[in-house]
Amino acid sequence: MNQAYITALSYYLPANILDNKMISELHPEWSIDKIALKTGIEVRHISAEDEFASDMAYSAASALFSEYDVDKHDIDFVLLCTQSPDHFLPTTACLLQERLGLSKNCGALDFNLGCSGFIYGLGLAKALIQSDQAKNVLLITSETYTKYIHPNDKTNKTIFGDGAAAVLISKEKSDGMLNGRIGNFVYGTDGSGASNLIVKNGGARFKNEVGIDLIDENGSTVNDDYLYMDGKAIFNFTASEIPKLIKKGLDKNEISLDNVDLAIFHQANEYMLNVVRTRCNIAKEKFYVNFSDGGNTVSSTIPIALKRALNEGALANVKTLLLAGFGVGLSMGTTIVTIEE
Amino acid sequence: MELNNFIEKCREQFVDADEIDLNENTLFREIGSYDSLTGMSILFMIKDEFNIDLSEEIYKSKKTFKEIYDLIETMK
Repeated sequence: MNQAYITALSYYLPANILDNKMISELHPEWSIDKIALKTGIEVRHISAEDEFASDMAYSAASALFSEYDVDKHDIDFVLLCTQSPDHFLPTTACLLQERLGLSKNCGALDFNLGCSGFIYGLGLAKALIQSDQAKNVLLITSETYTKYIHPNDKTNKTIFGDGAAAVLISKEKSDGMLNGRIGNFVYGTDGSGASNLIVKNGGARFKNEVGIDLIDENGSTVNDDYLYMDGKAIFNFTASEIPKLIKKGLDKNEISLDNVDLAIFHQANEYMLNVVRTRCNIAKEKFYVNFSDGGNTVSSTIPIALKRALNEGALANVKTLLLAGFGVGLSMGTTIVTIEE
Repeated sequence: MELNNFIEKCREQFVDADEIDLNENTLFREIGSYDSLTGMSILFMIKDEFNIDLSEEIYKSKKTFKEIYDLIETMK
Protein backbone atom coordinates (compact mmCIF):
# COMPACT_ATOMS: atom_id res chain seq x y z
CA MET A 1 0.00 0.00 0.00
CA ASN A 2 1.15 3.56 -0.71
CA GLN A 3 2.72 5.52 2.13
CA ALA A 4 2.10 9.22 2.73
CA TYR A 5 4.83 11.57 3.91
CA ILE A 6 4.85 15.07 5.32
CA THR A 7 7.61 16.48 3.16
CA ALA A 8 7.49 20.27 3.57
CA LEU A 9 5.80 22.83 5.79
CA SER A 10 5.67 26.60 6.24
CA TYR A 11 3.49 29.04 8.08
CA TYR A 12 2.34 32.63 8.06
CA LEU A 13 1.45 34.98 10.92
CA PRO A 14 -0.10 38.42 10.24
CA ALA A 15 2.01 41.51 10.93
CA ASN A 16 -0.40 43.17 13.37
CA ILE A 17 0.13 42.09 16.95
CA LEU A 18 -1.70 42.17 20.27
CA ASP A 19 0.69 41.70 23.18
CA ASN A 20 0.01 41.36 26.90
CA LYS A 21 0.84 45.01 27.56
CA MET A 22 -1.81 46.09 25.06
CA ILE A 23 -4.40 43.77 26.64
CA SER A 24 -3.51 45.01 30.11
CA GLU A 25 -3.98 48.61 28.97
CA LEU A 26 -7.40 47.75 27.58
CA HIS A 27 -8.36 45.72 30.66
CA PRO A 28 -6.36 47.16 33.60
CA GLU A 29 -7.77 44.58 36.03
CA TRP A 30 -5.56 42.00 34.27
CA SER A 31 -1.83 42.46 34.76
CA ILE A 32 0.71 41.63 32.06
CA ASP A 33 2.27 38.99 34.32
CA LYS A 34 -1.06 37.39 35.10
CA ILE A 35 -1.96 37.03 31.42
CA ALA A 36 1.40 35.43 30.61
CA LEU A 37 1.23 33.15 33.64
CA LYS A 38 -2.28 31.92 32.90
CA THR A 39 -1.94 31.37 29.17
CA GLY A 40 1.76 31.01 28.35
CA ILE A 41 1.17 33.53 25.56
CA GLU A 42 3.06 36.81 25.08
CA VAL A 43 1.97 37.91 21.59
CA ARG A 44 -0.95 37.18 19.27
CA HIS A 45 -0.97 38.06 15.58
CA ILE A 46 -4.15 39.66 14.29
CA SER A 47 -5.33 39.61 10.68
CA ALA A 48 -5.73 43.03 9.11
CA GLU A 49 -9.24 44.33 8.45
CA ASP A 50 -8.91 43.40 4.79
CA GLU A 51 -7.05 40.14 5.37
CA PHE A 52 -9.00 36.89 5.34
CA ALA A 53 -8.50 33.14 5.48
CA SER A 54 -7.68 32.84 1.77
CA ASP A 55 -5.09 35.63 2.03
CA MET A 56 -3.29 33.99 4.92
CA ALA A 57 -3.56 30.56 3.25
CA TYR A 58 -2.06 32.06 0.10
CA SER A 59 0.82 33.56 2.11
CA ALA A 60 1.54 30.28 3.91
CA ALA A 61 1.46 28.26 0.66
CA SER A 62 3.61 30.85 -1.15
CA ALA A 63 6.16 30.63 1.69
CA LEU A 64 6.19 26.85 1.28
CA PHE A 65 6.75 27.09 -2.49
CA SER A 66 9.58 29.56 -2.13
CA GLU A 67 11.25 27.82 0.81
CA TYR A 68 11.26 24.33 -0.68
CA ASP A 69 11.96 23.07 -4.15
CA VAL A 70 8.31 22.32 -4.86
CA ASP A 71 6.82 22.44 -8.34
CA LYS A 72 3.32 23.69 -7.63
CA HIS A 73 2.10 22.04 -10.82
CA ASP A 74 2.73 18.68 -9.14
CA ILE A 75 0.03 19.40 -6.57
CA ASP A 76 -3.11 17.46 -7.43
CA PHE A 77 -5.28 18.15 -4.38
CA VAL A 78 -5.81 21.09 -2.02
CA LEU A 79 -7.42 20.62 1.38
CA LEU A 80 -8.23 23.79 3.30
CA CYS A 81 -9.18 23.55 6.95
CA THR A 82 -11.04 26.68 8.03
CA GLN A 83 -13.99 27.81 10.11
CA SER A 84 -13.64 31.39 8.93
CA PRO A 85 -13.97 31.04 5.14
CA ASP A 86 -13.99 34.15 2.96
CA HIS A 87 -17.58 33.38 1.89
CA PHE A 88 -20.28 30.85 2.72
CA LEU A 89 -19.73 29.80 -0.86
CA PRO A 90 -17.81 29.23 -3.06
CA THR A 91 -15.27 26.90 -1.48
CA THR A 92 -12.24 28.93 -0.39
CA ALA A 93 -9.92 26.13 -1.62
CA CYS A 94 -11.21 26.81 -5.16
CA LEU A 95 -10.21 30.46 -4.82
CA LEU A 96 -6.77 29.28 -3.73
CA GLN A 97 -6.38 26.97 -6.73
CA GLU A 98 -6.70 29.98 -8.99
CA ARG A 99 -4.70 32.42 -6.89
CA LEU A 100 -1.83 29.99 -6.29
CA GLY A 101 -1.74 29.08 -10.00
CA LEU A 102 -2.36 25.39 -9.38
CA SER A 103 -3.40 22.98 -12.08
CA LYS A 104 -7.05 22.93 -13.15
CA ASN A 105 -6.83 19.16 -12.79
CA CYS A 106 -6.37 19.71 -9.07
CA GLY A 107 -9.10 18.67 -6.62
CA ALA A 108 -9.97 21.22 -3.95
CA LEU A 109 -12.21 21.26 -0.91
CA ASP A 110 -12.68 23.03 2.41
CA PHE A 111 -13.39 21.17 5.60
CA ASN A 112 -14.83 22.73 8.71
CA LEU A 113 -12.91 21.77 11.82
CA GLY A 114 -11.02 23.76 14.42
CA CYS A 115 -8.27 22.64 16.76
CA SER A 116 -8.45 19.00 15.67
CA GLY A 117 -8.40 19.99 11.99
CA PHE A 118 -4.73 19.44 11.22
CA ILE A 119 -4.93 15.81 12.35
CA TYR A 120 -8.06 15.22 10.28
CA GLY A 121 -6.39 16.93 7.33
CA LEU A 122 -3.43 14.55 7.57
CA GLY A 123 -5.88 11.65 7.67
CA LEU A 124 -7.75 12.89 4.59
CA ALA A 125 -4.50 13.54 2.71
CA LYS A 126 -3.16 10.10 3.54
CA ALA A 127 -6.42 8.49 2.42
CA LEU A 128 -6.34 10.36 -0.91
CA ILE A 129 -2.79 9.17 -1.51
CA GLN A 130 -3.33 5.59 -0.39
CA SER A 131 -6.37 5.28 -2.64
CA ASP A 132 -4.39 6.62 -5.63
CA GLN A 133 -6.60 9.70 -5.94
CA ALA A 134 -3.67 12.04 -5.42
CA LYS A 135 0.13 12.06 -5.27
CA ASN A 136 0.81 15.47 -3.72
CA VAL A 137 -1.73 17.02 -1.38
CA LEU A 138 -1.40 20.60 -0.20
CA LEU A 139 -2.99 20.78 3.25
CA ILE A 140 -3.59 24.33 4.44
CA THR A 141 -4.96 25.46 7.80
CA SER A 142 -6.08 29.08 8.06
CA GLU A 143 -8.19 30.88 10.64
CA THR A 144 -9.19 34.45 11.39
CA TYR A 145 -10.93 33.67 14.70
CA THR A 146 -10.07 37.14 16.01
CA LYS A 147 -12.71 38.55 13.66
CA TYR A 148 -15.24 36.49 15.67
CA ILE A 149 -14.12 37.82 19.08
CA HIS A 150 -16.17 40.55 20.78
CA PRO A 151 -14.02 43.66 21.45
CA ASN A 152 -14.76 43.32 25.17
CA ASP A 153 -14.26 39.57 25.41
CA LYS A 154 -10.96 39.76 27.23
CA THR A 155 -10.86 36.00 27.90
CA ASN A 156 -10.86 34.84 24.28
CA LYS A 157 -8.80 37.84 23.26
CA THR A 158 -5.90 36.61 25.41
CA ILE A 159 -6.00 33.10 23.95
CA PHE A 160 -6.62 33.25 20.21
CA GLY A 161 -4.47 34.62 17.43
CA ASP A 162 -4.74 34.38 13.64
CA GLY A 163 -2.43 32.35 11.45
CA ALA A 164 -2.09 29.85 8.63
CA ALA A 165 0.11 26.89 7.82
CA ALA A 166 0.75 24.97 4.60
CA VAL A 167 1.95 21.39 4.56
CA LEU A 168 2.83 19.22 1.57
CA ILE A 169 1.92 15.55 1.89
CA SER A 170 3.38 13.32 -0.81
CA LYS A 171 3.37 9.73 -1.97
CA GLU A 172 7.13 9.80 -2.42
CA LYS A 173 9.95 10.87 -0.11
CA SER A 174 12.40 13.48 -1.38
CA ASP A 175 16.01 14.22 -0.51
CA GLY A 176 16.42 17.09 1.92
CA MET A 177 12.77 17.08 2.94
CA LEU A 178 11.22 16.22 6.32
CA ASN A 179 9.92 12.82 5.12
CA GLY A 180 7.62 12.16 8.05
CA ARG A 181 5.66 8.99 7.34
CA ILE A 182 2.09 9.37 8.53
CA GLY A 183 0.93 6.49 10.72
CA ASN A 184 -2.46 5.24 11.84
CA PHE A 185 -5.20 7.49 13.18
CA VAL A 186 -7.67 7.46 16.01
CA TYR A 187 -10.47 10.02 15.95
CA GLY A 188 -13.17 10.99 18.41
CA THR A 189 -16.25 13.21 18.45
CA ASP A 190 -18.68 14.37 21.13
CA GLY A 191 -21.29 16.63 19.57
CA SER A 192 -23.07 16.96 22.90
CA GLY A 193 -20.44 19.61 23.71
CA ALA A 194 -21.07 21.64 20.53
CA SER A 195 -22.47 24.65 22.38
CA ASN A 196 -19.34 24.93 24.54
CA LEU A 197 -17.34 26.46 21.70
CA ILE A 198 -19.52 28.16 19.15
CA VAL A 199 -20.34 31.20 17.04
CA LYS A 200 -24.08 30.73 17.31
CA ASN A 201 -25.51 33.41 15.03
CA GLY A 202 -24.79 34.25 11.40
CA GLY A 203 -25.22 30.82 9.80
CA ALA A 204 -28.44 29.64 8.18
CA ARG A 205 -30.12 28.58 11.45
CA PHE A 206 -29.81 31.94 13.21
CA LYS A 207 -29.17 34.19 10.24
CA ASN A 208 -31.38 37.03 11.41
CA GLU A 209 -30.91 36.75 15.18
CA VAL A 210 -29.19 39.67 16.88
CA GLY A 211 -27.04 38.90 19.91
CA ILE A 212 -27.20 40.79 23.18
CA ASP A 213 -24.14 41.73 25.25
CA LEU A 214 -23.98 39.85 28.54
CA ILE A 215 -21.21 39.84 31.14
CA ASP A 216 -19.89 36.48 32.30
CA GLU A 217 -18.34 35.54 35.67
CA ASN A 218 -14.89 36.66 34.47
CA GLY A 219 -16.14 40.10 33.48
CA SER A 220 -15.87 39.26 29.78
CA THR A 221 -18.60 40.18 27.32
CA VAL A 222 -20.41 37.29 25.68
CA ASN A 223 -22.77 37.68 22.75
CA ASP A 224 -24.23 35.06 20.39
CA ASP A 225 -22.98 37.02 17.37
CA TYR A 226 -19.41 36.32 18.50
CA LEU A 227 -17.18 33.46 19.56
CA TYR A 228 -18.24 31.83 22.81
CA MET A 229 -16.07 29.38 24.71
CA ASP A 230 -16.86 27.66 27.99
CA GLY A 231 -13.25 27.25 29.05
CA LYS A 232 -14.10 24.98 31.95
CA ALA A 233 -16.09 22.57 29.75
CA ILE A 234 -13.30 22.46 27.15
CA PHE A 235 -10.75 21.87 29.89
CA ASN A 236 -12.89 19.05 31.26
CA PHE A 237 -13.23 17.41 27.82
CA THR A 238 -9.54 17.71 27.10
CA ALA A 239 -8.21 16.54 30.46
CA SER A 240 -10.70 13.68 30.55
CA GLU A 241 -10.71 12.39 26.95
CA ILE A 242 -7.25 13.07 25.52
CA PRO A 243 -5.37 10.59 27.75
CA LYS A 244 -7.75 7.85 26.55
CA LEU A 245 -7.35 8.98 22.93
CA ILE A 246 -3.56 8.89 23.21
CA LYS A 247 -3.61 5.38 24.63
CA LYS A 248 -5.82 4.18 21.76
CA GLY A 249 -3.57 5.93 19.24
CA LEU A 250 -0.43 4.32 20.59
CA ASP A 251 -2.12 0.90 20.59
CA LYS A 252 -3.28 1.35 16.99
CA ASN A 253 0.27 2.20 15.96
CA GLU A 254 1.57 -0.72 18.03
CA ILE A 255 4.02 1.39 20.00
CA SER A 256 4.35 2.46 23.63
CA LEU A 257 4.93 5.91 25.06
CA ASP A 258 8.59 4.93 25.56
CA ASN A 259 8.94 4.77 21.76
CA VAL A 260 7.73 8.36 21.33
CA ASP A 261 10.59 10.83 21.01
CA LEU A 262 8.51 14.01 20.96
CA ALA A 263 4.85 14.88 21.43
CA ILE A 264 3.27 17.93 19.82
CA PHE A 265 -0.28 18.61 20.92
CA HIS A 266 -2.62 21.39 19.90
CA GLN A 267 -1.17 24.46 21.63
CA ALA A 268 -4.26 25.73 23.36
CA ASN A 269 -3.26 27.11 26.71
CA GLU A 270 -0.09 26.26 28.61
CA TYR A 271 -1.82 25.45 31.87
CA MET A 272 -4.24 23.04 30.22
CA LEU A 273 -1.42 21.47 28.19
CA ASN A 274 0.50 20.79 31.37
CA VAL A 275 -2.47 19.07 32.99
CA VAL A 276 -3.07 16.96 29.86
CA ARG A 277 0.63 16.09 29.58
CA THR A 278 0.69 14.96 33.21
CA ARG A 279 -2.46 12.86 32.79
CA CYS A 280 -0.97 11.26 29.65
CA ASN A 281 2.25 10.45 31.58
CA ILE A 282 4.41 12.24 29.02
CA ALA A 283 7.72 13.57 30.35
CA LYS A 284 8.14 17.33 30.13
CA GLU A 285 11.30 17.04 28.01
CA LYS A 286 9.38 15.00 25.42
CA PHE A 287 6.56 17.53 25.16
CA TYR A 288 7.05 20.42 22.75
CA VAL A 289 5.40 23.73 23.57
CA ASN A 290 6.11 26.83 21.50
CA PHE A 291 3.26 29.27 21.14
CA SER A 292 4.16 32.27 23.29
CA ASP A 293 4.50 34.11 19.98
CA GLY A 294 1.23 33.45 18.18
CA GLY A 295 -1.13 32.07 20.80
CA ASN A 296 -3.85 29.61 19.93
CA THR A 297 -4.08 29.72 16.14
CA VAL A 298 -6.66 26.88 16.14
CA SER A 299 -5.88 24.31 13.41
CA SER A 300 -2.48 25.86 12.72
CA THR A 301 -0.87 25.39 16.15
CA ILE A 302 0.43 21.87 15.46
CA PRO A 303 2.04 22.60 12.05
CA ILE A 304 3.46 25.89 13.37
CA ALA A 305 4.96 24.10 16.38
CA LEU A 306 6.27 21.33 14.11
CA LYS A 307 7.96 23.88 11.86
CA ARG A 308 9.43 25.70 14.84
CA ALA A 309 10.73 22.42 16.26
CA LEU A 310 12.30 21.68 12.88
CA ASN A 311 13.88 25.13 12.64
CA GLU A 312 15.23 24.94 16.21
CA GLY A 313 16.82 21.54 15.61
CA ALA A 314 14.46 19.97 18.15
CA LEU A 315 13.74 17.17 15.65
CA ALA A 316 17.42 16.33 15.15
CA ASN A 317 17.25 13.13 17.21
CA VAL A 318 13.55 12.55 16.80
CA LYS A 319 12.25 9.53 14.91
CA THR A 320 8.77 9.11 16.33
CA LEU A 321 6.42 12.03 16.77
CA LEU A 322 3.08 11.88 18.56
CA LEU A 323 0.55 14.45 17.35
CA ALA A 324 -2.87 15.23 18.86
CA GLY A 325 -5.52 17.86 18.18
CA PHE A 326 -8.69 18.57 20.14
CA GLY A 327 -11.33 21.24 20.55
CA VAL A 328 -14.41 22.70 18.89
CA GLY A 329 -17.00 20.14 17.87
CA LEU A 330 -16.12 18.71 20.24
CA SER A 331 -13.61 16.84 18.14
CA MET A 332 -10.26 15.13 18.60
CA GLY A 333 -7.71 13.09 16.69
CA THR A 334 -4.23 11.66 17.04
CA THR A 335 -1.58 10.06 14.87
CA ILE A 336 2.07 9.08 14.81
CA VAL A 337 4.59 10.52 12.36
CA THR A 338 7.81 8.59 11.81
CA ILE A 339 10.68 10.60 10.41
CA GLU A 340 12.62 8.64 7.81
CA GLU A 341 15.89 9.32 6.00
CA MET B 1 -1.91 9.66 51.38
CA GLU B 2 -0.97 11.92 54.30
CA LEU B 3 -2.62 15.32 54.59
CA ASN B 4 0.66 17.13 53.89
CA ASN B 5 1.16 15.14 50.69
CA PHE B 6 -2.38 15.92 49.66
CA ILE B 7 -1.82 19.64 50.18
CA GLU B 8 1.39 19.40 48.13
CA LYS B 9 -0.52 17.69 45.31
CA CYS B 10 -3.09 20.50 45.45
CA ARG B 11 -0.35 23.12 45.41
CA GLU B 12 1.04 21.59 42.21
CA GLN B 13 -2.24 22.41 40.46
CA PHE B 14 -1.68 26.16 40.86
CA VAL B 15 -0.15 27.96 37.91
CA ASP B 16 2.26 29.73 40.29
CA ALA B 17 2.88 26.65 42.47
CA ASP B 18 6.50 27.58 43.16
CA GLU B 19 5.53 30.93 44.61
CA ILE B 20 2.71 30.10 47.01
CA ASP B 21 2.52 28.63 50.50
CA LEU B 22 -0.47 26.56 51.45
CA ASN B 23 -1.52 24.83 54.65
CA GLU B 24 -4.47 22.80 55.74
CA ASN B 25 -6.50 25.86 56.70
CA THR B 26 -5.71 28.07 53.71
CA LEU B 27 -8.85 29.49 52.10
CA PHE B 28 -7.48 28.46 48.74
CA ARG B 29 -10.07 30.21 46.57
CA GLU B 30 -8.75 33.52 47.89
CA ILE B 31 -5.31 32.92 46.38
CA GLY B 32 -4.91 35.33 43.46
CA SER B 33 -4.02 32.74 40.86
CA TYR B 34 -6.89 30.39 41.72
CA ASP B 35 -9.58 30.12 39.06
CA SER B 36 -12.12 27.61 37.81
CA LEU B 37 -9.45 25.72 35.84
CA THR B 38 -7.39 25.27 39.02
CA GLY B 39 -10.50 23.78 40.60
CA MET B 40 -11.00 21.41 37.67
CA SER B 41 -7.36 20.41 37.89
CA ILE B 42 -7.67 19.63 41.62
CA LEU B 43 -10.73 17.47 40.89
CA PHE B 44 -8.78 15.54 38.22
CA MET B 45 -5.89 15.08 40.66
CA ILE B 46 -8.32 13.60 43.23
CA LYS B 47 -9.72 11.29 40.55
CA ASP B 48 -6.23 10.13 39.55
CA GLU B 49 -4.85 9.73 43.06
CA PHE B 50 -7.88 8.34 44.88
CA ASN B 51 -10.12 7.07 42.07
CA ILE B 52 -12.87 9.28 43.48
CA ASP B 53 -15.16 11.40 41.29
CA LEU B 54 -15.91 14.37 43.50
CA SER B 55 -18.78 16.46 42.16
CA GLU B 56 -18.23 20.15 41.54
CA GLU B 57 -21.13 20.91 43.86
CA ILE B 58 -19.55 19.10 46.80
CA TYR B 59 -16.12 20.52 45.95
CA LYS B 60 -17.52 24.04 45.96
CA SER B 61 -18.92 23.51 49.47
CA LYS B 62 -15.41 22.91 50.87
CA LYS B 63 -13.32 25.92 51.83
CA THR B 64 -9.98 24.39 52.86
CA PHE B 65 -7.81 21.46 51.78
CA LYS B 66 -8.34 19.87 55.20
CA GLU B 67 -12.10 19.81 54.58
CA ILE B 68 -11.57 18.15 51.18
CA TYR B 69 -9.08 15.68 52.62
CA ASP B 70 -11.41 14.69 55.46
CA LEU B 71 -14.23 14.15 52.97
CA ILE B 72 -12.04 11.94 50.78
CA GLU B 73 -11.07 9.89 53.80
CA THR B 74 -14.73 9.14 54.45
CA MET B 75 -15.25 8.13 50.81
CA LYS B 76 -12.41 5.61 50.57
